[in-house]
Amino acid sequence: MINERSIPSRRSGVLHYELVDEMVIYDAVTSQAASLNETARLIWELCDGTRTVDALSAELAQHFDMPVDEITASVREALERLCELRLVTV
Amino acid sequence: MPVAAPDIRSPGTSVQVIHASFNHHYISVSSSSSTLLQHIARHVEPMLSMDPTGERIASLHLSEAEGCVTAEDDQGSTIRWGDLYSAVRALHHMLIKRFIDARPELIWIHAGVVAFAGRALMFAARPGQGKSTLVAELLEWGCNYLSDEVAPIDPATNAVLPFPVSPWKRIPPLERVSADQLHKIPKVCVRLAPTVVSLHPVSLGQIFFPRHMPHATGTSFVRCSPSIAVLELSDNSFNSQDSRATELARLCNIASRFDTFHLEYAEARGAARDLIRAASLA
Repeated sequence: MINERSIPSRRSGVLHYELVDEMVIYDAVTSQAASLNETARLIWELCDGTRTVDALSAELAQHFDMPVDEITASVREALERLCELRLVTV
Repeated sequence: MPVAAPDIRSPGTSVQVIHASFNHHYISVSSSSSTLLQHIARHVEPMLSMDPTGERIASLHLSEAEGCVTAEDDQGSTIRWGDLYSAVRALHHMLIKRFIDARPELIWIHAGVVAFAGRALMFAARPGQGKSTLVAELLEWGCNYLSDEVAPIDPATNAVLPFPVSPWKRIPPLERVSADQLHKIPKVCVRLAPTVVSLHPVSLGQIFFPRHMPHATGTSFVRCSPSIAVLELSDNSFNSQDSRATELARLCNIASRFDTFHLEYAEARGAARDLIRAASLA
């Protein structure tokens, strides 16, 4: 269960391909590929094992110049999806 | 003007042979049954060559006995089918796979492709979304034919090479059918005039991912994001799973350079008209 104190990390060995503001990520172990829009890409890049979900949300909100409480739910949904795909661990 | 059906005869010999060619490679298929060869030839008619040049990548010999068809290749493998329909269908796919295996440096997409105004319009989709029928309708609008089924892209030039298997289209039913029922509608072979078949690679223009939506009110084009386009292309890629990391890198290059669209349509004739109008304005 992801909460505000969880610290997400990208799984090692996952390949990524940049496409302007978007990204495609690929796990050769599971053969799983995923497309990330601009927001999801930023979330993925911020999952470096040093930030809590709260800190990640705050940074994203600053990037988009939005209130944190408007972005927190989206961040958690994205992280849950990345965890489902086993591309991020918490 | 319709092209005459392939007629394979070789007086005085018991074994006849046809050659299917693609970009300086060819496959020879021989049989003492001209009927069997004609069935195969019908599927690759625009690719047939009387005097092929380049490298022969495979040689198949077909025989028929008591309703069963047997294929032997030049590597000693033998495959047998219990009926003509299954054999012809499998052999068609076998020919395609041999060409794909011979040219791994190309990006092979499950797609129909036509050329319009010097650019290739590609329709990539799983079976049953009507891409063959779309291609056939676009030919009526003056497009040139590259393929009904397989689109080999040269990543060095981003050009689509012609792979002109015989095009087939579904006869429109009186009532609209759902997408999952579309595959049940029988297809008929579209005879092509030689001038319609593109002989040379064509630079890629636009890529469409068609979805047949029988209850749609018209044709809609929605721009597809590059990262989604990569996954769509990957889903329709014939390239080996072993090199998927490389394949994704190459598809990212394609998706970032060319416009890609989701195409939803109810009937192919109207969609073709709308595609030509949109391409003319581009």
